Amino acid sequence: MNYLLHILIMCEIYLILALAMNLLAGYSGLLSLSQAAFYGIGAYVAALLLIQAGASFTLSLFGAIAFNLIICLPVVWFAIRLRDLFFALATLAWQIIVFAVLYNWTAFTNGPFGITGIPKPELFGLYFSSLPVFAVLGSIITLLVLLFFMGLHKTPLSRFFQGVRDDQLAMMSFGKKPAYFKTLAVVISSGVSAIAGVLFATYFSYIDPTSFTLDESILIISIVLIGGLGTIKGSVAGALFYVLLPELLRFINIPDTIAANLRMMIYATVLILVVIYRPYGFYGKYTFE
Amino acid sequence: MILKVEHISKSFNGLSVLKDVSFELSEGTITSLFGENGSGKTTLFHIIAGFLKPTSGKVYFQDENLHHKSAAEIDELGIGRTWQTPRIFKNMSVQDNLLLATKDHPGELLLNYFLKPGIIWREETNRKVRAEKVCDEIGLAGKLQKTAGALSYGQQKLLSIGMLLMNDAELLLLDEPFAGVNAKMVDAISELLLQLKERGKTVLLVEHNRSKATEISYKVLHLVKGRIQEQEGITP
Repeated sequence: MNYLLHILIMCEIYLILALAMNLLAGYSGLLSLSQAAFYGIGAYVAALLLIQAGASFTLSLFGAIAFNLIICLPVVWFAIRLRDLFFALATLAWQIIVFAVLYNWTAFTNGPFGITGIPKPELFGLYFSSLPVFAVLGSIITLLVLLFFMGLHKTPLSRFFQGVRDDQLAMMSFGKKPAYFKTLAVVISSGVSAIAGVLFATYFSYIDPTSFTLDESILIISIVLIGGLGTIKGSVAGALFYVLLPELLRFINIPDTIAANLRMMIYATVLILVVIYRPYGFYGKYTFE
Repeated sequence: MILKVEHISKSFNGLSVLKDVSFELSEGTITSLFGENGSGKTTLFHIIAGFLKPTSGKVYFQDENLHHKSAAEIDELGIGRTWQTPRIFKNMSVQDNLLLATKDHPGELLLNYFLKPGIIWREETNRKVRAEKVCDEIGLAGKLQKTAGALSYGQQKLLSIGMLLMNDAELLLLDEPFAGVNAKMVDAISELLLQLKERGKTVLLVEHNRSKATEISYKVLHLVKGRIQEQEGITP
């Protein structure tokens, strides 16, 4: 049972990250390589608020979101100034900078040793320490995030994001300001990524910089590409695929010494096949040219 | 006069593309601009629409100097343009393309979703009704939900004109509207342009299909090596 609940929580965390990434890449055409940076910053800010400041879970959650809304400004600047691959490269640099700060600013982050003893969430007098109740909290938060994105993509605002993705020059010729919509997309995406970071930190009670590397950012992109860009269904399918496939592969009788690597190789092979035979992913409406 | 172009010159790195170009457009007319490739037609369009600044000279729209205005501000005043290759939002529906082209949608501003959500949805409904009408007018009836990228090339050109109508453009700058489309579609587009003229819209079109463009034009301008030569009164 605990194993299944763990899988559920991991699905929730990656679904939140996928939805945030999809707003950037799938709806706004911004291929960001720094999603793990915002995920990590959210986790660290919440951990520090909970441990150092003794803040409540709610305050830490909103604090992490608020901090991400501000710290994403360099990426906003990249999004306004740069296009396509140049934007991706700039966000890659931002990811490397954030990782370096998390790894080396030991006074705050405890560097490679990470932060331990992050308390479990407490809300309205309820202590979410056991796995089942944490899974319920995670489900509620994930559902709220999912509903937020479903609502957002039914608003006219989503149309403007997609307009920026499809043709910025055309948007300008109709008097729209692509910079404004890109700013909104980056800000919302980084704020939501913080939520995943807070869930991660409070679930494991331990964080260190190796959970928020460039590899993780690439993984988040792969989830969205596999599921499909520009649809909510795609994000859900991608997150489930990423978390569940390696778990299903556990049931194949592979020697323990090579199991982990072989599982990742099988996952990578499936990823290659999806990219070749389903360039729009499972449910995508858009693909990068 | 709805548009006055006065002594426009434009150079790129010392290469002179437009030389002292001047002309005027009367309201509710169609004017064709002809010229060889590289004669500066598209550059002139870019300047009028605010995508390029002239090296010298001025452009007035309804007596307002456009010199310091951005493309977005010029669009706001009522100048809309299409591009040689239709710049439509290919992954979106025809309806979304038409809605995207509308001006000042309250749903553009995040704050409005908290302060006046009712207005957003009311406006959205009204604009959808209007989009359906425009879709009928441009001959794309029944294709409202079709993905714009799946339309034929000619239909995409019609859609891009429809987007200017949704944008409430008074002056339509059309870059080669007849290029790359079949004869039937050329007729459909020219018919649409004549209807727009009847409704008081002003059209300036760059075209290589001289016979069709001349047939519907009030005035023809020839751009030769960056200089304009004018012919008047082709069609009343």
